[in-house]
Amino acid sequence: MSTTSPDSPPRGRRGKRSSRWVTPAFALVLGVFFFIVAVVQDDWGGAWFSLALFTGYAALLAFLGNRVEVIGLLRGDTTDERAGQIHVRAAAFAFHVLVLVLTTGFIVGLLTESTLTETFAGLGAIAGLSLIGAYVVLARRS
Amino acid sequence: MAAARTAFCKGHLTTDSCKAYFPFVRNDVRKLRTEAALSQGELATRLGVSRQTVNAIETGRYSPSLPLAIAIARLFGKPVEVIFHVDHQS
Repeated sequence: MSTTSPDSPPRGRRGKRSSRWVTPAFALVLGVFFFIVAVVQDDWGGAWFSLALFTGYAALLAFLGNRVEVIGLLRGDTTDERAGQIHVRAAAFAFHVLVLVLTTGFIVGLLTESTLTETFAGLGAIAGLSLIGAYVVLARRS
Repeated sequence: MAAARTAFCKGHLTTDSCKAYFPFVRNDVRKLRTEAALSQGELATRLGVSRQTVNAIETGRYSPSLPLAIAIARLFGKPVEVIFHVDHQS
């Protein structure tokens, strides 16, 4: 049963304010992590590049997320039901692209006798089992 | 929107079936909002949604959920079916 009430409109934007910093902060943490990894490997060029790339991405998400809807969506904003729906449809599209890539990779791997065939098969199996599991759970809950 | 629906149904459904299964839901939100002298942003704030969502509803790109449609109807003091009407013709 849905708990959404017309008297208390869908999740307000105010409540999501704190979570707006989660994805940019995570991008920054990743940048620092890759920076340290590259420094340990004595790759200073790669280190600064990683840090700059992820810091730039974090800044983009943090400062343009409120102005540009797509960047807000990239940041993970689900400010309302439409944003949530866009997230679900975008994720489904990305899943289909991944399945296409995995299938193509598997077939090409078979034809070329590549060592990557098992990797593609394993990833394809995970995707398929995840889909079946999601169907089972969602069919029961919906 | 009509073109998108036609493309979606092409090869699967006849034109009439397509209109029957995927009817357009038109709405008078823009008209009511301008009559109430509200901006899209102000209406969005009152509904707890983004300004882009109000714009998408007004232009027919997005059909709101039932709770949101009821919230819109209550805000303008009209029944839902007066604001949102199914259009089988277009």
